[in-house]
Amino acid sequence: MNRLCVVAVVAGGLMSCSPTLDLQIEGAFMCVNRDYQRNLSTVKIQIIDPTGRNPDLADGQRSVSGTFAERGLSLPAIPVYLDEAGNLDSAMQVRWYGSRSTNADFAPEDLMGYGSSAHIWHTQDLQPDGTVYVPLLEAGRFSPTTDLAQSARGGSGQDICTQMITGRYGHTATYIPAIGKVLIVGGRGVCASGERCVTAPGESRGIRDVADAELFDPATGTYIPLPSPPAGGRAFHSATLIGDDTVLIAGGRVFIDENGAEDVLGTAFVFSTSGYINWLSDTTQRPWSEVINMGPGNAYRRADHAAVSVDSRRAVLVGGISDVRTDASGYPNLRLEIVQLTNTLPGVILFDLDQDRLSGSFKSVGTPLQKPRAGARLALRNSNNGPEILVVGGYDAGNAVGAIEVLKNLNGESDQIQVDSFGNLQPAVFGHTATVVADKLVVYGGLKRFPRDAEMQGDSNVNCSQPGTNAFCYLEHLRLRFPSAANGASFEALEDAFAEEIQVMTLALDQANVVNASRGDEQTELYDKNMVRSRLWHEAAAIKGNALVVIGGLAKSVLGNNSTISLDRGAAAELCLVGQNTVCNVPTRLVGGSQRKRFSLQGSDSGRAEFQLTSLPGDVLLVTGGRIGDNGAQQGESMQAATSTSQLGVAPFVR
Amino acid sequence: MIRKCLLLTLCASLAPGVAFAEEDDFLADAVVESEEEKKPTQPLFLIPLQPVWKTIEPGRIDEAIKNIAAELSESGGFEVEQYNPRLGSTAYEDPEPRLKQRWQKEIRMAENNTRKRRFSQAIKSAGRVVRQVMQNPQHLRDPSIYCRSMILVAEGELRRGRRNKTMSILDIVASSCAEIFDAKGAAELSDAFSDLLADAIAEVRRRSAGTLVVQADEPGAVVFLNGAKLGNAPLIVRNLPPSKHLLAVVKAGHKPFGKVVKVGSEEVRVQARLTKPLGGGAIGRVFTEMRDNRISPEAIKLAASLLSKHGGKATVALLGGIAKVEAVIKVSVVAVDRKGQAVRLKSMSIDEDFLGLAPEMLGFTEKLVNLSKSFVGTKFKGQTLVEGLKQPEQQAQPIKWASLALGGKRKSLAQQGNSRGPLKRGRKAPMRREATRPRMNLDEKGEQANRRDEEDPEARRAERVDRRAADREARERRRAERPKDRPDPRRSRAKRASRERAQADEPRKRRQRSRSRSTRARAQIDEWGVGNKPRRLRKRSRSRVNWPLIAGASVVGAGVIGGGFALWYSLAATPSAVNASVSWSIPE
Repeated sequence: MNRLCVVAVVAGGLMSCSPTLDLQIEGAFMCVNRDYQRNLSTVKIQIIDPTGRNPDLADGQRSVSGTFAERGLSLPAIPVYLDEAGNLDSAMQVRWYGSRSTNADFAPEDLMGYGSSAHIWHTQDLQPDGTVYVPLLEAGRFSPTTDLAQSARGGSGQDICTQMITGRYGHTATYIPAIGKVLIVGGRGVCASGERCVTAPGESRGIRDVADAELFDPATGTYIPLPSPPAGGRAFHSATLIGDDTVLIAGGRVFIDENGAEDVLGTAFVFSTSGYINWLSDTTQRPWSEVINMGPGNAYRRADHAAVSVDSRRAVLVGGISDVRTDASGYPNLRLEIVQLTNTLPGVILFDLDQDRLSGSFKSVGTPLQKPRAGARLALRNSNNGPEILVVGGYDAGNAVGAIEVLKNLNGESDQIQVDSFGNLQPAVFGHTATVVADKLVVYGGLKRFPRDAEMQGDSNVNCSQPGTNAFCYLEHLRLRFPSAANGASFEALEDAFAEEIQVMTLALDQANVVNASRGDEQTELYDKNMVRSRLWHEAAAIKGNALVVIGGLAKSVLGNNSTISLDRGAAAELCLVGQNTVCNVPTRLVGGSQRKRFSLQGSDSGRAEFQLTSLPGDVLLVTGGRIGDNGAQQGESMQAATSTSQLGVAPFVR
Repeated sequence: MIRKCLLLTLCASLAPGVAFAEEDDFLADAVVESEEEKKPTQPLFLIPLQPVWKTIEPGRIDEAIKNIAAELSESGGFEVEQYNPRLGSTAYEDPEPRLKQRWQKEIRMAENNTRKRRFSQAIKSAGRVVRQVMQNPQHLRDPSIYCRSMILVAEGELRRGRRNKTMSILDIVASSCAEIFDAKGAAELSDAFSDLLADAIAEVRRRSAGTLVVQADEPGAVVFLNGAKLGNAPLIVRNLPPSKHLLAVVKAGHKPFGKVVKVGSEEVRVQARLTKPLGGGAIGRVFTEMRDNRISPEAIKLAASLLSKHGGKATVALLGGIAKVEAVIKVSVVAVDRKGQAVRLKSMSIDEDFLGLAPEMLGFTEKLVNLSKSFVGTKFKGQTLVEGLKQPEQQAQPIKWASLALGGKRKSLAQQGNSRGPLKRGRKAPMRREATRPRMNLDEKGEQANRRDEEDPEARRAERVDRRAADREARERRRAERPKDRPDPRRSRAKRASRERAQADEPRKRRQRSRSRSTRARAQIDEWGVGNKPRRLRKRSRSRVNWPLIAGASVVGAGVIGGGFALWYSLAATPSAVNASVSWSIPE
């Protein structure tokens, strides 16, 4: 067809010929939380080019508005690029906005719901019948992931809710732009009935390492099982997106016996998009690379480290623990020597991907960390000398680490990468989040110190076989178990260890200039009184409008005059507006009267820790897995349940 | 309700024999009478409250003053006497009908004069119309009269050899009068002028870079640019050709605003003032300032002066501003005594229905009562009149001039301007020039030249002969005085030129002539008023253009470029379109 067009153009001189493609876009409500549609009045559909590379699309977008009751709208003649075969070759994204206002140019507070399609780049990204599904999410609400095709066909209820194939926590979930899907790897899950696996003293159900991997497809809301990755299961590893098509999975911990003894892994492997595409048509292929050893003899092994990509080929891995020891009972304990942080472990290593993007090698960088640590968070910063990486917080063998260090000369070879001091957190924290929003870094919550009570001072032989008595034995990263309020000093020690500060620093400065954000406590139609005073092992993501969503984690909340530390629904999500002064608050869903609900996850899965929060296109947020707790994670009890329910949601709309 | 209770109490105390069971009206009347008896009447001199930023209608001001006066009378015992200044500002009257007739007549005269080559007279008549139209800019809504006059002036100036003036006028005509160009009436315009104008129009159409921001001091004023109605001010007109444009801002009942605006590559701002300034000297000046939400010491001085002259027995004068913000009327008042001392009284925010006026005036009236007994004030510095008031801002509406200019009628004209080209053939000159027409002296003014047309040719010839003879004698005298060894400079120059000519070969000379012909022709067009020669040259230069060859080459070139582009585009990616249809189902 196109060749004919070319001939026609050449022969006719000025004739033009433009092939067209008909796109059927279907909006699909989630399996629950769909009642808000009764308040909808106006709908706006927007087609954008997220890459901004389509010069024919004026202002990078095309939109149309109509009434919700019309059940449809059309957007004709949107300029795109098709390849010679007439296939789509143009980055597109469909966004849907629903408002209770009759005015097409609605205000943010009138926006009841919005959603975004997955990315559409090629014809392969469309469904086989050429359809594109858009989840119609309620603003300020999470809902279980949903089979969008079934929902669009009129299905509703639990039948069309979808679940991860394997429930897990301590896993990774990484969005891969090249295929528009989320890669979920490893973690720990609950043992099947009768299965022999690690059962900690005092716990009723055993846990095991999850050896499989799966993909979440935002285009359909379903999960795709993948062939098992090489080198078995692992948890508390890192998954780093390199370029837009490759994910490096490195390190982690693994159980080595049924008593719960663990080993730290010195192996890595790569998820390759090209391998995945080959696997779709030929199941003998694998989306995984072979196992890659981390350093000579796995010498660079680590877990609970942080990692980030430096460019389209390289990634740095920072800190981590290199060993997990066990006590006499064979169960890991709080003895601080379990955290083997010494200068013999290279603080920072660089992974360099080979040309085939299926293999690579690890090298140590020029200088080690000045303050070796695990559990750090990383943030990218652009300085006058090029990109730099900030290493923020974490813990070492003694306590929380407050030093912020910076990795420089990232464009150079591995031995040219230098580590320098950048400043200090006030206070030092671990179990925190550090997220870049606009030109600021927001460090939220965490613990200021190990919550050792008087009983534990100087006592390295803590008995973890009696949970809820006297010790912190079971917060997974450090294998701690947290005490109930009845334990008095132990509970108070934990309560005091929570960092209530939200620390904000400006990235443009060449040293850390930490100020505290404020918490909005006013109770209005838009915000609830903020009961959450701090969080531990929560997650945070930046969204459009210089805002930050903080969600989940073990929350220290204030109910009446008493503090509670729990994983239950009290841990509503917070929205931090990052500006000259950063303010964090708990927004309500934007329906007045008795229908007001707080911005939180849905149902009994609303409180969870050690989960993953992944940003999808259009500010859609995906929460996968984690340890859930309604009753299962109350004080004095272990948090053993690993959920397979993932939830999709959007924050209240911030212009 | 509170007031009623007070009245009842007062009534009960004054007339203990009256039972509460009696009718309310009776009670109220009794109280009013007793209050009137009790409170003496104190005169209060009120200088009219000035509407700030025109946020409130005159009718509402009167209503507000009436209510405030009633409340002052009732609760403070004041008798308000409002001063009524004569400001001498009259409503604008549109003299359109009679002017139009007069201008039509003038234009007809100018056209007749152009036809008869009385260019000075034509310029005078048409120029008068141009001036008067600019003084009455409401006529720029349809610039046909203006444009016809300008075209006649430009034609006349061109014929009189004033190139710069002609080009300056063409700058305005090209941007404003493209449509009028066809309807030039009975005037016989020369080919040279028509072509120059077509070139200027084409040039204007080709460029679009300027931005014009038009603001007006009256809401709802309509903006006309080059005769095109753009909408209500404020406006931002983008993509304007850098040229002179004809701007008119008009609102019924107000003095229209007209201006020729020169737009370049940078943004030009025009503030159209449609409101006539208030007359009455100092009073008008002060009131104008108060309407702009400022009160100055001059206003206090004026109030004291007015109080002394016209206040009668009043010891206190009030002046101030009044504004309306949504449904709230804000009143800010300053009290002044005869010595020029001033006190700012409590500002009031009253609902439109004035129901809450009495409680709002509680502190106000008390303060005024105290001031009327003993005035203690301060010297006043300039300050904001009504505090916390924001000037209503109107969002300027952006408009792309290029899109307007290329739409509808204007498109065809633009294309006409472009396609005409500088050397279009086949047009016959409508003008005939007399072979014996005497050459004009360009140094002389138009009227003098015209007068000379009417003088006796024989006398002028004799005068010229005399002048030549005198010149000849002077030359002879200089030659005799010159030393013999020094050659005649004029002769040596002639010899050198002759030598150079001899050295140059003939073919090269021909090429040079050919190259410079168009330039020379253009130069002659510029000096068109000096004789017939330029016309002949110009015709010859046109015949040199081989249009068929150029057209053929263009078609082939376009085909090759278009084909190559299409091929490249198809190899890279084909620009195509997606037709998206979106649907959703509504859950039960």
